Amino acid sequence: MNVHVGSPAVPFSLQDTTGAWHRLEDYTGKWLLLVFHRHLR
Amino acid sequence: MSQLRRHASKIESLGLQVLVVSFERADVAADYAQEMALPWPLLLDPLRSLYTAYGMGRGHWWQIWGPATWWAYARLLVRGGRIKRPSGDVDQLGGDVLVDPTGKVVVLHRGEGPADRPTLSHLLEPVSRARVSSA
Repeated sequence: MNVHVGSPAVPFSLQDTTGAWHRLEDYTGKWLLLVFHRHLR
Repeated sequence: MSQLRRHASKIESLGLQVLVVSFERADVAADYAQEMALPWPLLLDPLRSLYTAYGMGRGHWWQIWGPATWWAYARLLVRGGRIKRPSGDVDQLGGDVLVDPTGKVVVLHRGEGPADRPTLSHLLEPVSRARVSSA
C-alpha cells in the first residue's frame, strides 16, 4: 500500500493464460500498463 | 477494458505494453481471454499479491452498487452493450498502473467502484509526452 507515483514498480513473476511467464524486468526499457481487472464472470 | 480495446492500435503505436491482471481461476480467465479475443496477455494472480501490493482494495456495498454503477450500466445500454448478471468476487476493485521505461510508477489509479476508471487520455498522456520530448 506504500506504492505511490514516483515509486519503483513492484516486481512480479506471473503466468498468463497460455502458460507464459511475465516478469517486471522483461519490460525494462518499455512503457508498461498494468490493468487490474475486476471479476471476469 | 472496452475503452482500451477500442484503442488497441493507438496503444500499440505508442509502443505501450499492456498486461491485464486477474485474480480469477485459470480456466475462467482463459475462457474470458478467448471469448473477448483479448489482444494482451492476461496474467493470473490468484493470491492477489500484485493487487495487494498496489493497494487495489475491496469495495463497500455502496461503492459496488451505488448510483455511479447504475449510471455506468445505463451508458452501456445506450451504447448497445449487454449487462451480464455478475458472479464471482464482485467486491474486488480494479485499477491501473503505468510504469515508465526506467521502472518507475507514473500513474497509479486505484478504482473506487466498478465505474471508476481513468480516461484513456489520462493513461496515455505521459507516454505521448515522452515521445514528443524525445523526438
